[in-house]
Amino acid sequence: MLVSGCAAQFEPKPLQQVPFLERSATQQEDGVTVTAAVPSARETRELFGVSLYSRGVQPVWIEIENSTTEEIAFFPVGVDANYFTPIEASTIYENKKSRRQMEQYFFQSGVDSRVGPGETRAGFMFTHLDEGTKAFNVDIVGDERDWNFTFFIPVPGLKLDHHEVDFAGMYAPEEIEHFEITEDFINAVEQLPCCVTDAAAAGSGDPLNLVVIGEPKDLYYAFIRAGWDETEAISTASTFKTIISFISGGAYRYSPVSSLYVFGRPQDVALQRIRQNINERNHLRLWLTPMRFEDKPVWIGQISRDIGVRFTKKTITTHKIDPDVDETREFLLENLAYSQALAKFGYVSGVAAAPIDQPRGNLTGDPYFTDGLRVVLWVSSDAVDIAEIEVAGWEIPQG
Amino acid sequence: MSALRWPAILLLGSLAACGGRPYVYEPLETLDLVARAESQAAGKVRVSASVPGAAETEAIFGVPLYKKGIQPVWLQVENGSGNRLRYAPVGTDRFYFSPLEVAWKHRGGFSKSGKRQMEQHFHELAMDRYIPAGETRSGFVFTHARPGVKDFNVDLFSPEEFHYFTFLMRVPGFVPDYGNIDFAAMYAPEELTIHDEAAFRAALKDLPCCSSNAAGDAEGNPINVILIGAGRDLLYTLLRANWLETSADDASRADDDYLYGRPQDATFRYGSSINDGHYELKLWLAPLRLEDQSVALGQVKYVIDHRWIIARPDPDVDNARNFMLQNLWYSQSLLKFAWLSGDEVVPVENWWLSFQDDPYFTDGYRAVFWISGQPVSLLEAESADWEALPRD
Repeated sequence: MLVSGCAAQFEPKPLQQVPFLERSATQQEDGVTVTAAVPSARETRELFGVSLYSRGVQPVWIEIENSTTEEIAFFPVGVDANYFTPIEASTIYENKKSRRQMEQYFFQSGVDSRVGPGETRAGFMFTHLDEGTKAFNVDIVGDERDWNFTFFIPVPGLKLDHHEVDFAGMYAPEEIEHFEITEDFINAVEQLPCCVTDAAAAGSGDPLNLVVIGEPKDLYYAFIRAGWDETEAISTASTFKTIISFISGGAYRYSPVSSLYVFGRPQDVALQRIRQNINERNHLRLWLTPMRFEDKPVWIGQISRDIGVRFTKKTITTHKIDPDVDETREFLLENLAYSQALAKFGYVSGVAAAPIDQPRGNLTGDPYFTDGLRVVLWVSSDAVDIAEIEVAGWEIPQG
Repeated sequence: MSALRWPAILLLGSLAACGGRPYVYEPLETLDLVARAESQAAGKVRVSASVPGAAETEAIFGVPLYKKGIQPVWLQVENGSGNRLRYAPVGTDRFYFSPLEVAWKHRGGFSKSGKRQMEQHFHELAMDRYIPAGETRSGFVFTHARPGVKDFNVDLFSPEEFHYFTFLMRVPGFVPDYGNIDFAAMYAPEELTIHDEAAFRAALKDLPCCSSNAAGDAEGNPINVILIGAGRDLLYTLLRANWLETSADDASRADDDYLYGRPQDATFRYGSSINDGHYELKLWLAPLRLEDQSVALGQVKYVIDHRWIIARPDPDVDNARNFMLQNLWYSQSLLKFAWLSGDEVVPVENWWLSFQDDPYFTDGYRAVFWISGQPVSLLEAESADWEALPRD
């Protein structure tokens, strides 16, 4: 905030002096090569002379090499449907002295939308900030065909909670149970704990109504594709960011979530998904189980929809969750399906039913009701068309 | 203290004694919401839908949902198929509100039993996810409010079949800014109709470059888009592409620009959040027609708006024009497009000022869009062989 008041000199560094392109990713298909890179907060400040991240703007470098014989067009709205125009990005800082110079500089840095045959074009797009992983599509259209590339680019700067976990070393080989027969697997999943507990393994909290099947990489791509954010590990820095955002009346998108316990340990992965605004979100926690089904890791999890904030005796403030936890569970299924991240789903029992007129309570005293089913989600790192999703005819939810 | 205020105070006192007001609402049957529903059928599946306005919504739910930006949509699915169907609310609104979330947001002021009744009412009126074979289910899904015209999808799934329905319906209680304009009487059609494309292209070349002020003695921004299509299709296309109408009584509407001696016939706005800027499209019906198609002249620009700065138009008006091409293309409304050069080239190094003192620069090209009433896939959209946009 103070920076804008005294930033008289506009001194961006040339591209060659900021080594963010070392982290670029390249994809190629039928004569079109796309390279993309995302500068971190510090690199962005060097490249553009102002702290764009602090104003919610994230530049994305895009280079398009056209080896075809036709002109191709790149559609920026595929990367970010509400992208910032270059001049908009430059004017987010009021800087009267250098304003015109900045506008011109940002404008010249912008990526061209059309690339002639044999040409290579490169430049920046100004997008909305994603801190953990930047996921976006690069859509290109030619006369007779189109190209669609999907990028997942980690952005340095956040200490992400799931990066702290060694999934491969979590269970010794002899601890792992392999399942090939469906009935055996269903029986085993139904025997998993019903609910989360507190750190002392006491209490019975939110129901564990999710079973996710997939490698860590499948989960990562599937949930990022479906708009879920990673959460930052609890540290001095993340606590500080949470406090700052609280004071400034905002909410920190990647803020750490409170720990819930299964298998005597806190969640292995915590994700959150902002709905229309940053104060409305869903929280999801997953634990790796020692089970593998058809050679894929099996995870168990819990999901809740925050519908407001309320005061409790135990934690002073907590999120009021939607008591209709089945609704939230079905939302997740549909969210993954519409994001082309779901290959197959089914239902098993394992959480005892609690009808609406006899709700149970979670650890913070929030009531919830449920049909007692768990949804089993086979997530996919490759895009799966919604019409291609398989349905396992196991339990059938009523209603 | 006047005599009138005593009963009010007594009433308040009695409410406080019971710990909040009771929950009251009107039964759905007393309103014409269901009677006026629109229906669509595919095979043996029929979907009906209706959108209550703000006042109806308050009657149905006893609380003013629109004030919190929540718009309920009433749906009914008659499932004559042999499969159990699943309705996915994310297809209607990616960020839909859950019924109990809406109840929670409105719990303030109700008695304990009132809150419970409200929760129950929302839960009961909610649309079911499953519609068993041969049965009918109806209820509400809670979406983000959209003024003017609501467009939404109803997606139904079973392992054996899928059905996708698209609805577009006017929300009661909203009059758009063009609501009182008689477009049919604006020009005499027989004088205006052009039948071949070459003559049409020449006619487009002769159109005015820019808008002006009311007196007509100072230039505004360029007219940088031209839309061609049947009148209804033009409107539906913009709505489908997420452009919002302006209300006739919207005090915050855009300043007027003039063309043909009159202010814009309609203003549309694209962009959901106030703090993130928005595109603004002003449209005038042109005094020419291509066969039976209307031609609308448009001025599109982007307004930079961010909580840290004062709102101002982006001088790069070509970006807004190019955005509109992508916007129509992605919303599958574009049959064909073409580029048309103009005389007014304003280089980036040497901006001009409009009569509103807004700077702008442009390559001078206009985008011409042929609009389709039916969805056109990304690859089917054609580029007309007129002129090529210059590459720098």
